[in-house]
Amino acid sequence: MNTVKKIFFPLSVCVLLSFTMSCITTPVCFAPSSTPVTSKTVVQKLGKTEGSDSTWSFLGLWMWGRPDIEEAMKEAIQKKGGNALVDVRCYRTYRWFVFVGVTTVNVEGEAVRVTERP
Amino acid sequence: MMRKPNCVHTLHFYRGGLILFFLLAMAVLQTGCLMKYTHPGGIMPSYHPMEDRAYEETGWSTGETSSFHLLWVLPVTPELSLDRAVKEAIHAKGGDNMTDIRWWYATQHWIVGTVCVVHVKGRVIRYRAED
Repeated sequence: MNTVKKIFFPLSVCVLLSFTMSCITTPVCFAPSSTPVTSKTVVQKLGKTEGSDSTWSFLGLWMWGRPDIEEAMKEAIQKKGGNALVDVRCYRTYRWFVFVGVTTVNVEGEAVRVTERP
Repeated sequence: MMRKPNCVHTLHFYRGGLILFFLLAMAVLQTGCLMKYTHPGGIMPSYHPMEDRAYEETGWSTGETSSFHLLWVLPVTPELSLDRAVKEAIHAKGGDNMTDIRWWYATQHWIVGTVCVVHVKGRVIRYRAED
């Protein structure tokens, strides 16, 4: 009986804790590019990239700071040494751990180097 | 030595939880802010389609508009407008268009109502006069 208690109690706590965790991803935006690409610009493609920025909230009610799309884009662009993104997609992922929620914005796209045509 | 029954421990646990909940509720009521959240909005390469003309950058600019709902449901001010926020940002720099736009919106639920604010940030440009 004691052994059952020893196993059953931690197991039920783990199961209950698992019910308090969740993860939801929703699409936020898509755009052809992060900066205008006109006939006057030259685009050098540098490859697929992604970046993210996160912030957390207590009980899912009070958020500290904000998930910043700009920071996520900067990270994605810097990874490939470009200065802009094309075919941009943004997603928001919300993760919940017991009392704390973490909101992350993910930016995906293709890094490019945009220069003015001479 | 006698052990305390389990129900005493459980009672202490619930009492601690109740005190914590009460303190938290008091803290919330003191500030009046029931909920505060910021959502990522999106990005746009430009506000108006780019014209095939030379332009100059006047710098980064930000704009915002807000709305207030009394008791969380009754609209008191005009609704949120991304359009107004962008125009305000362009007007602040005396430009014609905005590029590299990022926007996000914040929601704050207070005891008296809800405040929503949309923020816009971007690079303002001004077209050069054609010769």
